[in-house]
Parts: sequence; C-alpha cells; structure tokens
Amino acid sequence: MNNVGVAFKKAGLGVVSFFHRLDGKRGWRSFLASVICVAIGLLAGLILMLCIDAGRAFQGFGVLLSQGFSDADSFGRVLYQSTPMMLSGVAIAFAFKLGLFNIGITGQVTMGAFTSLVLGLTMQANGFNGGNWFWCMLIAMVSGALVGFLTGFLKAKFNVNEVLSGIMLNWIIYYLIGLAGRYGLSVKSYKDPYANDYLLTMPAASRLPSLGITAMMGVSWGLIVAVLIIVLLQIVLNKTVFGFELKLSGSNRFAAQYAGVSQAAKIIWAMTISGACAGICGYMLYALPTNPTKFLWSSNGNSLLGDGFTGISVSLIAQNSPLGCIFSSLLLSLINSSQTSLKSVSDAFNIHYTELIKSLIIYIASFSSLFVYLIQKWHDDNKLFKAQGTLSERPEATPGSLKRKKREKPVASEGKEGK
Amino acid sequence: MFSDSNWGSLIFKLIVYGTGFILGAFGGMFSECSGIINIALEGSMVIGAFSGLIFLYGMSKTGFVAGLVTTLAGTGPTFDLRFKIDMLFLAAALIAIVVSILFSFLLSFVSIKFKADQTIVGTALNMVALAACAIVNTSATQIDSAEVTNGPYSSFYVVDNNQGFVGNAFSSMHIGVFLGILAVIVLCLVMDRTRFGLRLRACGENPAAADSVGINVNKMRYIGTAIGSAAAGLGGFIIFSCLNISNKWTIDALGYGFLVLAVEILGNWKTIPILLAAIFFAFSFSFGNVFQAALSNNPDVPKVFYTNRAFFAMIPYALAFLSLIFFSKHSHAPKAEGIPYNKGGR
Repeated sequence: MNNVGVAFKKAGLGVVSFFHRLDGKRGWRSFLASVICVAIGLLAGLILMLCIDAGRAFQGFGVLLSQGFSDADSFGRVLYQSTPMMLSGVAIAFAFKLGLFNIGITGQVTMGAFTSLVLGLTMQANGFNGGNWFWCMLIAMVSGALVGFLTGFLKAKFNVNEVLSGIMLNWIIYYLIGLAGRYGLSVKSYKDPYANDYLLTMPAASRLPSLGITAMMGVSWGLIVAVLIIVLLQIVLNKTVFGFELKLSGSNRFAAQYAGVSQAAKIIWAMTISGACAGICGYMLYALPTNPTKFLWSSNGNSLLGDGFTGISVSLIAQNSPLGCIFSSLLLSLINSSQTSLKSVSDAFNIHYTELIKSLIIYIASFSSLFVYLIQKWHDDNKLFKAQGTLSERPEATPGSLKRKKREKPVASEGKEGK
Repeated sequence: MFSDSNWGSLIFKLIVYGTGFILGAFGGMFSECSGIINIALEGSMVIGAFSGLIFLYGMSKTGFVAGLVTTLAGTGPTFDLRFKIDMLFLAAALIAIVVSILFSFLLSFVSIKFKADQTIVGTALNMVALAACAIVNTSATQIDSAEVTNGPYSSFYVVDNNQGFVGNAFSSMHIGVFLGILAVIVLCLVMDRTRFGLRLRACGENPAAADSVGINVNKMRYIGTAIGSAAAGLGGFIIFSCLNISNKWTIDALGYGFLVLAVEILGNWKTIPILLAAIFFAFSFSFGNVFQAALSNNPDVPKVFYTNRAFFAMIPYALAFLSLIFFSKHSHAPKAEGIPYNKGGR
C-alpha cells in the first residue's frame, strides 16, 4: 500500500514537475493562457445558454463542441473553412509583432479575391490553361500586398494611423470594386452596366486542386499552402535577423532605433507581408474545389466582407503566434460549423449566439497577459514544488537558481572582457 | 438643379449626421484625452442606437401613443400627442446614454484593472455589442433577424404633406437631436472651460504629474471613457433613429464609429477643429446622397451619372483618407494614450 502511495506521489510529482518546467517557457505560458481564455469564453457561453434556454443548454453546448467531428463531411468542412481563416489570422499576427493593427485586412482580402476572380475569368475567356490556380493565387497575393504596402508606406512616411487608413481603404476598395465591375472590365459576366449587383464564380480551372480525399473533397492543396506559409513566417520571425529586428521594433521602438533598426522599412515590410497573406486568403475564400462561394457585390449593400475581421479573432486567440493561428482557426471554424445544428436544437440559439461566444473569447483574450502573469506567479511560488526533496536533485529547475544564473552571466562575461 | 425638397433633405441630413458625428468624435476625444484608446466607439453607437430603438419598439407595442398612425394620415399630431412623443424620445435618448455608460465600463475596467491591450478590447467589444444586440433583439421580439422596426413613429413633425423644404428638413427629426445639439455645446464647454476638462487632459498627457498634484488618474479615466461612450451612444441613437425611422434598422453602425475616429484625429483632439471636421464629413455624406437624388430627378442627366451609388458613397471615405494623409504629419495624440497608468512607474 505504502509503495503504491509512493508511486502515486512520484507520478504526481512527475506531472507537476513536467508542467512546472514547461511553465518556465514563454511559449507554453501563452499557450496555457490562450486555453484558459477559450475555456472561460466557452463557460460564459454555457452560462448564456442556460439563461436563454435552460432545458436544452447542455445538449446545445455538446453540439457546439462536437458537431465538427460528427462525420467526415463535417470535419472536412471544418478543415477547409479554417484554411483562409488561418491565413488572415497570420496576416494580423505578423503585423501585430510590430505593434501594427492591420484592420485594413478586409480591404486586402477583398482586393485579393476580386483580382484573382477577374484573372480566373479572363483566363477562362481566353482559353488559357496551365497552373491557373497558381497564377490566381499569385495575383491575389501581389494585389493584397500592394494594398498593405500602401498602408505601411503612409504610416512610415506620413504618420497616418494604420487603423484609420486601413478602415478608410476598406470602404474605398469596396466601392472601387463596385465601379470597376461596371466600367473598367469587359468580362462576360457584367452584362448590364446599370445592374445594382453582380455575382462572380471562380471557373473550375482556377480553383484550388483538391487533395483527393473522397470523403472530404473540399480539403485542397490550399490547406498545405497555408500551413507552409505559416511555418515559413514562424521561422522568419524566430530564426532570422529580420524577424528579430521586427520583434525588437515591436516591443521597444526606441531601443530598436538606438540599435540602428530602420523603423520605416520594418513598418512597410510588415504591412506588405501581412497584406500578401490577406490577399491569398481572399483567393482561397472563393476557390474551393467544389461548390465555391460566389463573390457578390451589391451596390445597395453596406457591408464589407466579414472574413478579414475573422482574422483578428483568430490572431487574438492565438496571442499573435503564427503557429497558434492554425489551432485557433480550427477552433473558430469548429464553432462556426455548429451553427445550423445548434439552431435545430433550439430556436433561441441562432447564428448571433455563436458570434457572441466568439466575441466573448476574444474579449477575454484581450487581457490574456493577466493569465500569463498569474501562471508566472504560480510558477514562482509553487509551494508544493519547493517543499519536495527532488528539488535538490535538479537545482537548475528552481526559479531562484534560474534568477541567480541570469544575474551571474553578465558579470562573468564582463570579467572576461576586462581581462 | 436642387429643388426645395432636395435642399430640405440636405439640411436634414447635415444636422443629423453632423450632430451624430460631432458627438461620436467628442466621445473619442473624451476617452482618449483621459488616456484610453476607444476603438469601441462603433460598439457604443450600436448599443446606444439599439437600446433606444428597442425601447421605442416596446412602447409601440404597449399602445402608449395610440392613434398616432391615424393622426399622421391627416394633418399631423396634436399638441398633446406630440408632447407624449417628445417625452418618449427623450426617455429613449436617456436610455441610450445610460446603457452606453454601462457598456463603457466593459472597456475601462479591463483596461485599468487588468492592463489589457485597449485596441484589442475595443475590437472585441465592437463584436460583443453587435452580437449581444442581435441576441437581445431576437429574444425580445421573437423575430429571427438582426433588424429593429419601429414603424409607427415615422415622421411626426409633419407640417404639411407636400414635403417641401420644411417637411423634408424637419419631419423626421425628434427631440433627441436637440438634446444632442445641447450636449455638443455642453461637452465643448466642459472640455475647454472647466477645471475638470483640464484635469482630464492632464491624465492623458502626463498621468504621473497629474497624480502628483492629487488627481485620481484611474477615476478620471473611468469618467472620461464613460462620458465618451455616452456621447457616442447618443450620437448613434440620433443617426440611426432619424435616418431609418420609417423602416427597419439593421443592427450595424456601418463603420461610422471608425469614421468618427478619423474625424477626431483630423481635429487633432481639440474641440473646435473636431467640430469643423465633423461638419465637413457630414456635408460630404449628405451632399453625395442628396446630389444623387437630385440628378436622378433631372431627365437631362444621363443615367450613368446617378446610377453610381458606389461613387457617391465612396466620396466621404476618400475625402477622409486624403485628409488623413495631409493632416497626420502634425497630429499630436495625447502622450499617455493607450498606456495603463502604473503608480510605481514614475
């Protein structure tokens, strides 16, 4: 009995020390903080469900979380709907690394979607064939990047607040596309120059090629491309000089300036890369292999594409980590996928309900630094851990020793230089 | 080219948009001068407009102003009825203000206590406001749409049914607009002519210095954000109740909340320049709108010129964009804006 007790104690201690060591890592801390934010947001959602329709709240909550996994088709939908989302998320996250809030992402997404659609239709009209989807993606990327460049350039050279110029550009692009669709283009689909709205569909040749999984035809090479881009950006941010300078400028502008990092160039680069990601996101939104969404422009409408703004949610939940964007976009698209089934559980749980849960998660994520701080604090005064004898076996794991190490290091190097 | 009714609707839109934009921009000014970035102005506008309009919708169900519809068909409401309507709209405007103040604490509390990133909180709150309004609306009205109707209250200052200059200019206005104009004057005076206004600015420029002379920085920030949100909420109520009163209002601030931020930056965080900038935008908004209407009534003008709603709708945003480029170089934001105050940080 005693042996079992000891074994349990050891196992427990092992788990605790495992987490304890992980807590010392910044990435893990922010990941844990994100998980806490999401959990609190979902809990708030459950409470709201109980307020609205108590009888079916738990059933509804189950549907909310599990609908995406119910069958291969649903799971496929979760995957392919998350693909553009993770790109728009990484676009926001990348700009955030420099402290820039790229709210103009909607304009960049719209621009990318529109240019790629026009190119796709033009290629179809001219009978061009050969890697159509690649060219469409490329032009979407370039046009998105140009819009991002404009915002960044204005920020760097004219001190224009990027949030405001972004918002203005969103609307200007929205209306410019309305004008361009009528007069500037001679694609067949614009028959009536006075029509109030028009609908564009990406031709089959220019859509994303499917991965070929029979149960999930919607899952395309786009997913692979998106993940590759995210991994690339993660590497750029963490392993290159450029990424280091970017993050340095984001965390302390004056220190970066003092160290000789050009602020203007960093701002322009960050916005351009962010815009490029957003442009690709715009292409992918309308280029699903089967049954692609149609691009609708209505002159009587007053609403921008919401898909860009989803990126803000994705990035905020992921705490601006490019890799985290993959997970948070999957989570959001999981919540999205439950919308119709949730409505069938109870009429009260309509589409606004899932929107509210998402916005609550972001609201809580906005003070995730509090959770990071709390985890850090828990880590520092973890009494259970301090009381155990195992500490002496691993002295490097204690917070105190870590601090001492850090303090001693510069002294030693100074001494060397002194000699 | 402009007829009497065109001039009338131009004046109407100028007053309504102008009051709404000035109030919204003052809202941004009050909270940013106290040191808190308020991206949630859009949310405040939505919340304000929604709470006022849903109150009116509820009152229309109770039959408080019974007989309004039949009276409107004739010569316009009687004095007694009009007094009732005025009280109703006054109550709606006050409700809009109170709800927006409550909403503002969602922003100020987490920004001050939890030192949250204010831009992110604001963005999240914009979404929270939209979703919460839609949910309350669907559960209150039992209609599954994100729209608020309040049909019976349309055009009640009708003087004659011909809709000439006076009819177009004033028939859709309500007492909330005059309350808004009063609020603009009061807020101007508070910011420029009182000790409170000066202290508020001090909290945004140099909170440590303000603290050292005994000003409670965090309290000032709570108050500043509350005033700002209340002003924006009233502005939202004015714009959306006046412009959409005859039909349905979809729960959305159409980006006006961000436009007023541009106005505020253009006005360089000062009352009089903000006032002028807001009127400039209100004019560009209403002029584009009315100009298109005027052109479409004129048979000599080719169709191409006025079917372009996109072009006219784009004018205000393009002007805002250009003016941002020209004036941002000299813009001077409150120094401590967006930085949580830390007592030990001196």
